[in-house]
Amino acid sequence: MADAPLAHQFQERRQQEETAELGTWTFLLTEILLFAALFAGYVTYRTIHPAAFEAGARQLDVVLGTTNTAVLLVSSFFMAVAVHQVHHGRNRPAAVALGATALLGAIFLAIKFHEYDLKVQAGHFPGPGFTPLPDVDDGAARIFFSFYFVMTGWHALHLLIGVVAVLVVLVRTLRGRNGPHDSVLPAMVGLYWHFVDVLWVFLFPLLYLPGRSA
Amino acid sequence: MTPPTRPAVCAVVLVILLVLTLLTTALAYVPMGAWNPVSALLIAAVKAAWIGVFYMHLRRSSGLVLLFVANGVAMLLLLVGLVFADVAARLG
Repeated sequence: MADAPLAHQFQERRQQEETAELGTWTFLLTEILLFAALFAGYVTYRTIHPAAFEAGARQLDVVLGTTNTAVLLVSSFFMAVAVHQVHHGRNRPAAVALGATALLGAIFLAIKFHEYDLKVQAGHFPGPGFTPLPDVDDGAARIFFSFYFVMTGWHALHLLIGVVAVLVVLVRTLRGRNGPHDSVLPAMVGLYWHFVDVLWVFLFPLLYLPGRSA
Repeated sequence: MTPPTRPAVCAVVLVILLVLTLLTTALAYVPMGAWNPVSALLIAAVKAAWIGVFYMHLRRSSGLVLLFVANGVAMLLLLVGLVFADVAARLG
């Protein structure tokens, strides 16, 4: 199987691969800054309205949140294994691992949308039908749930794009377009997937865990 | 490309990550005052470090990549940290 072509601006393959890695990280850093703005907003309003944010967080299902955290961590495990398998030319095991990654991502999204449904039913969507929480500032409680829906919504969108990307890599791997001769795309998609996991690793304690020890 | 981490190592890291997850959730129910959010974020940072080093292959990345990542993290901490300090100071 011929090696992937060396683009004309590179002198050697290693240089091309390192550029892909650096470029992917640069993209991830811009995404981190996108979420950093949301985190900064969250930190601001939680500092001003701690009671309302804790009351809002208590409305979220900590079992579902913890489960989803575990789901994404296991998916990252399979993604890391898949990249290793592709690198060593074991395309069938790689495809299985990629399939597991995508499936776990889909499970996460299913649980997340179930949670959204629960929140809407409970009157916690910050809109006309919002049910005020007892003893806390109503505006601040709405702000908490705004952050909840926006931050997890943006995360879910990133995850959905990741699932599509993983499926693309899965098809390419089954067709032999990825392998030891060219494992750059799986590696880049892997970096993106782990980044989405790291995002959730921070979102979970900020949104689900405040106020639990009250 | 940076040589990927072996599956056996990935599995060990997964177990560590899952244990830290359970620890975070469990600690949330222990009244520790200001240490509740601080401990949660510290554990999250440790988990992110394990994911970054082993799953994202940072332990074998070039110095340039590490510099980029370190800068990104520094900018993130600067943004969120100073915004927090500003808001907290205005309230106090």
